[in-house]
Amino acid sequence: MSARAPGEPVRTIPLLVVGGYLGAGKTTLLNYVLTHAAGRRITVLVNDFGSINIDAALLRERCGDVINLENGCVCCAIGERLIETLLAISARPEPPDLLVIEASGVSDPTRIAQIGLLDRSYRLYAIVVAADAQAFRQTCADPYVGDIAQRQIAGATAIVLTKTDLIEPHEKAEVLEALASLANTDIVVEAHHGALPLALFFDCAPVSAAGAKYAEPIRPMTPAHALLPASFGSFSFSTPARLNRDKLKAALKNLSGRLLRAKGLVWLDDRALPQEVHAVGERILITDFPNQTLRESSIVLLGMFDDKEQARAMQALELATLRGA
Amino acid sequence: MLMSRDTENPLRIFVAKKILTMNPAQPEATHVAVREGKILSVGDRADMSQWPGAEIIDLFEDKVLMPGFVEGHCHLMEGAMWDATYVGYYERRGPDGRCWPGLKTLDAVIERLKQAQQGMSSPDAPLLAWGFDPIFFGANRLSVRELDTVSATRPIVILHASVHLMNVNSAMLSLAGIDEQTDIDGLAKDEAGKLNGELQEFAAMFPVYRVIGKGLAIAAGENKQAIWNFGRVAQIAGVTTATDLVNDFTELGLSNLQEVTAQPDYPVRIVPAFAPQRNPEGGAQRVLSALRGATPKLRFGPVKFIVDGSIQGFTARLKWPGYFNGKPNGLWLIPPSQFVDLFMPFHRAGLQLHIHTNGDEATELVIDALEQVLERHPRWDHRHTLQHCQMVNASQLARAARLGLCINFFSNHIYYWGDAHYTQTMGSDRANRMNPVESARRLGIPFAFHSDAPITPLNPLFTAWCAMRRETSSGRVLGASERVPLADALRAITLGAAYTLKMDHLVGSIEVGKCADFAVLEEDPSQLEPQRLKDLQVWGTVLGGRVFQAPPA
Repeated sequence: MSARAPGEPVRTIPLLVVGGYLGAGKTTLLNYVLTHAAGRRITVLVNDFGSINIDAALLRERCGDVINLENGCVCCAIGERLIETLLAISARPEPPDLLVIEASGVSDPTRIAQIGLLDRSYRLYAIVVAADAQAFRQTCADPYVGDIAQRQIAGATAIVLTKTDLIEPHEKAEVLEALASLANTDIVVEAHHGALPLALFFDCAPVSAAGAKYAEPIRPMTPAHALLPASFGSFSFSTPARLNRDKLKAALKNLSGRLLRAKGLVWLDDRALPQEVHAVGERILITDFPNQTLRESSIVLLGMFDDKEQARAMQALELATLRGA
Repeated sequence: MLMSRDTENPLRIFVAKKILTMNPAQPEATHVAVREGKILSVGDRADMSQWPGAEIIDLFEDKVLMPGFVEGHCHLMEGAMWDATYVGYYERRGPDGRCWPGLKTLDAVIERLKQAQQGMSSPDAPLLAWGFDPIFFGANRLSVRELDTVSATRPIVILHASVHLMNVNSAMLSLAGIDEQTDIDGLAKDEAGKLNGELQEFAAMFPVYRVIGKGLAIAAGENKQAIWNFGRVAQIAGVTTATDLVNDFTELGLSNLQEVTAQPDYPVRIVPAFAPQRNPEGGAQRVLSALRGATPKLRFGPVKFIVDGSIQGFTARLKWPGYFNGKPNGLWLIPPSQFVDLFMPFHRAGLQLHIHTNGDEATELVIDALEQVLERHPRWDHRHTLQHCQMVNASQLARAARLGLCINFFSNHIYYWGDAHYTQTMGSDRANRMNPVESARRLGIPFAFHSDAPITPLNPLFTAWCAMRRETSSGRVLGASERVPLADALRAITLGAAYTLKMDHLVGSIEVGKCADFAVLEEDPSQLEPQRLKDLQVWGTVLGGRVFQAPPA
């Protein structure tokens, strides 16, 4: 028995799941994350069967904490190893600042990612799925793995399109169209010479117990700043009024296509304690936050919102307050 | 010198009512002489006059001997499950021989949990149970409410037979930190939107494993008690050779196996198959190194790969028209484009591949890959084996035959999930052709069948009955033309399975030179009504000449 006493604070480990079919550029993504770790202690769990030995060697140079888990999937007898590994990582005296799981090229990354929406030790930040612009349509048409490649795109909360320099502009347009028809997110980022918005992977404004600092906007950091799509950014919503739980969830769900993630501390109409809200794509987690001093509710949203969409989002959230109703 | 040798290795003659040898040159006998753990001679009373001075063992005078059964696809995890309370729908015998009747109602499940709780000393230790299968209870669900009548304060966890789902009570939900506010798949809810305590799949079950730690079979192979329990469960079913068909080959796991199987009273020969998917280190060399530590009771050589999921879990990879109820196609555990590269090093090292392929698409792509492997590096007598191979079709069987593959079918599925396959997963056409043992036999494919314990109970006579009768639990016959004759069914659970493990020179038949491994039966299976084969009582076993009586049921 290793259960904590109720109410005991739990340190959650941010979880980033990287998915995508073989050759889509998952390792490149991982290397990018590790190169820009900026002092964060990152543990990488490589779950990709086959290409593992090459990948791991590359990764080890970067961070020294790579766990090979050649199990390819989270299925019955061989899923045990993943359970053991995740339990061991969270039980470390000094847990990592970020756990990155590289999902197998044929697995559905959402299956693993859900750990970060339920277990108290992990908190999902994103499911970033890489797509090879050159091979994407061919992979999707493959009779044996096409359905799986498509499912990976559908489960992504952000998509990174790689190898766009190898195709013509009209081909790129076709790939983007194909992605749009499969994806549940509008967030598609192009990897220019391997450069990517760091906000896809890291939170620049961590939750503070006081809650005040929390409401600061998430700022994209250099060097990725210039490469963000024009409308990619964060904004925050605050209100002195309590929010209705169901309406808040509905409002966030409506925004989910443009939302990378949202985090907030709010007062809800059905709970005495303040609540922590965490949304990744269309999935929402609301839990008790044991801090009575929170003065007002605030939520920070990060995603592809231009001014007009930002205004619409603010309005939708306002309508979720008891005042708005 | 001669004297001392005779004292250390006495010559003993076992006398039986009948011996079914599985040796076609001498199918039946009444006497078997044993020395140094091996079979010295087989015949009748007159033949035994060649061996004067032998000790005559008449313990089996009214019993029937067969070669000890060989289970070619099961897991040590069976042994670990028995630390928890069995709550399955079908009768099952534990390592102590105790017969746990099948539980036909949810009330009976609750009642057994209450009894289990009475035996627990600590008031807040978790109560763990296994083997539950909701498929047999229609719309009735086991929910938090019912489990809380057992205890609302002690955490309770019931792992389903599929091992992909569990039911928990409110105390467990709260310890695991699971409430209505989470939005993930796999948290079943009732009509009012309340959690009903059913947790589906890995992510939903994970917070429970955090609380119960090593309970419910996590790391079975590294637990000596589990190895002992596994051996006893096998022995009770008449098994003398059994696989652990997914093994990590960790140092601790292997040294535990060395230590436990070396005990003279450990009743089974164990064949662990290295699973590269569980242990990325070492590759083929890991198995070649392990071979040096082989003993008569611990054999190495098989390598296991798993390429797709399960049919009842809708994760097997199917060809058109896919799942009967329209569910999306299943999962690959290994990308098909990597099969050849992954199989090749093990093939070239002279090792034997055992490849899990449930769906027909998985089977087809594995056959494609093995064809390439064999074309590039031909190898005689490789005996690569397709495991489960449940949906294989006629054209795939023909190719498997040509490539010299063996098939170990999952015939128990016909009984346990056959009705579900007929109505939900496959529909009539493909349910009727599942596990087509008779077609394989006609093509001359070396075959066996298995339990995949703990997924279904480890009991080769029952498995043989399934392959021979093809009856579902409701009594429907699936594809009568695929019924295999009794003699072939009995051969499959002895010599057939031994062949798929490259052990047919050691075990699987009762003839001179082989291990003195016998299944001791109360009746003659060749004279039984076919329907009764599954009910045949096993008295016990003989392993290397040593007698192991099964505890009474």
